[in-house]
Amino acid sequence: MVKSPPLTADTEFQGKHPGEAFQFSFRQHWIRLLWPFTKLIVWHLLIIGIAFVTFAMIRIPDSFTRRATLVLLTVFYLLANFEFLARFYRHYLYVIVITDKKIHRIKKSLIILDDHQSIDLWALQDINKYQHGLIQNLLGFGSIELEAQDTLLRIHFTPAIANIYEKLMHLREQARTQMSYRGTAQQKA
Amino acid sequence: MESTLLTALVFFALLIFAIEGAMWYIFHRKIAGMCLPDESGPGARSLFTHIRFKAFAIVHTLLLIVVIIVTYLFLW
Repeated sequence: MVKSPPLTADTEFQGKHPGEAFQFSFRQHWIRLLWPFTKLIVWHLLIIGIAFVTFAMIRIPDSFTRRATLVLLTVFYLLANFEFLARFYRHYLYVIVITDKKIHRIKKSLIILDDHQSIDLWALQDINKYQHGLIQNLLGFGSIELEAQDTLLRIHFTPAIANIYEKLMHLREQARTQMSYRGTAQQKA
Repeated sequence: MESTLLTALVFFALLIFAIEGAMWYIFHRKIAGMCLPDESGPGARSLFTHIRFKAFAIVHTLLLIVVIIVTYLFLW
């Protein structure tokens, strides 16, 4: 789930500062896609059921009505599929990128959403991890809350949350050490 | 083949191509610069790489068209 270094062109992303070094990135847990997928299955079963009743049991004699029903069912079939596809794409258009200096949350949808939120690692006051319920604990996902002075960033459905939480704590300490080192160097200069 | 059946099939095939194509085009543009590992890159650990997304879109398009053709041939 967590993709760690190496620094290549693949780790470039929008909004990256030239001085930042990519650490790792992650997307939301796959369970986020479970409900859209279940909905897709339910729609398919419903359409197959209606088609079976209409065409195999009732056997509509009028060809116009039969064809109109078929076209209507096709429209619903396509709508269900395209809705799932949009959700599927949207899942991959939401990424959290962690560099040595910042945490970037890039969230897009196909048409209406294009967000980019960044938070400085050294400025983080609190990093909280929440895992509520059996499923979250069994599958190892949950929410991470990042709190800086005026900013609160919530990342829900974080996969491998224990691992990511540890990495974030470690990177925050590193960023703070770098900041204090720079401050001391500037004072000496 | 009956002309109305052919018209319906062509209409739905074009509709599917247009919508899938538009969705893929927008997704392809937006995913650029979002840390999607490429299959050739060293960070290629994700299940979905750029090539696999493309393959998925093509397979999904073909699947929808095939399902509609088969269903219409039986039920039209």
